[in-house]
Amino acid sequence: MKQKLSKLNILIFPLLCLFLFVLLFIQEYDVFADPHAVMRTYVKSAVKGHTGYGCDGYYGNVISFAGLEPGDLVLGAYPDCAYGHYSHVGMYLGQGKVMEAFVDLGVNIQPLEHYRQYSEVCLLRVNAPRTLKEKALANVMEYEGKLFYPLAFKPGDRIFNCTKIMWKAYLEEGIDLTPADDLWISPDSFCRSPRVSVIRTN
Amino acid sequence: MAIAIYFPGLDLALTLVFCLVIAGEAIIYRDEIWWRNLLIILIWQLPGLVLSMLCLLPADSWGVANYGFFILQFWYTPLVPLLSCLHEYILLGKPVYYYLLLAMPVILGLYFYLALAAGGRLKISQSYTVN
Repeated sequence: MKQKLSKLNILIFPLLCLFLFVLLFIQEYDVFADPHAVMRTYVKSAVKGHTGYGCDGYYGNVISFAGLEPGDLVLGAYPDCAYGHYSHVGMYLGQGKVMEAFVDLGVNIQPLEHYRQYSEVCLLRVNAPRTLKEKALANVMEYEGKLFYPLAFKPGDRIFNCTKIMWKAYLEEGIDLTPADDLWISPDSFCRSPRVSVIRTN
Repeated sequence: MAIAIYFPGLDLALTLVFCLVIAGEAIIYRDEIWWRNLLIILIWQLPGLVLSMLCLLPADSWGVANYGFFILQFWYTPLVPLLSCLHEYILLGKPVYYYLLLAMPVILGLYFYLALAAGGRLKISQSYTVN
């Protein structure tokens, strides 16, 4: 009896993991076949030795934040990022504040000026009416304090990473910022989005 | 367990299964020698303990402490769905889940110990029944 229970305990999670992976593979086959999917980016970056993530140091860029409007996206890049060129993104709330997410802070409001720490910054404007942006901003405020997990998948509203905040906030208003099928959203995918235009980069 | 996060709801169910499996392990493998039980808990929670201590190092915000917490969260992935259900309380500028993850080696150790104690009572009552 003890041996049987022991075998069951050892096998239960590997078997469940295998079952869920097969389920995910069947459901998201197109993503697994897509050479531009985020998981492929991770693999390509790892091969090149790029393993960096959201925060790496202080570079003191001098980009101008003039003309930013609430609802705009602010992207920051560090060299050697593991998941693309840009490593972090926040949604501008106005009055020098940004809604974003970090591993130890969860979804939280930070000053815009901290984007000076990145080596590169890109400012994006979502092409949408002002009223819709206001609704997206109201959505984003509801996520404050939510849990950050780096591998936050697109489905669900309990677990977030930095990109999922603004993606979900706009999606709830009918705008899919990253229409390509993927399991996760990378900051780079916002740059490629047909729903945004670049304000400026440094 | 990270894959389960793709299926909201199922991730929570698997967290509960994880907790039950841990309790089951404690009940089945309870050792009569108390220090061996403590050694099991210590070895089991040592990686989490080391990572928690790294997080508490007086390092700059984006140094070792930040990486430590990053890995700590991965280490306790099976419990992430449960933590995500907590209300969004902020204490001293950090969310509640941050403090709970730091304390997780102690919380899980205590949970295992309580399951051991429950297993001990179960075995005693079983032996009385046999006698």
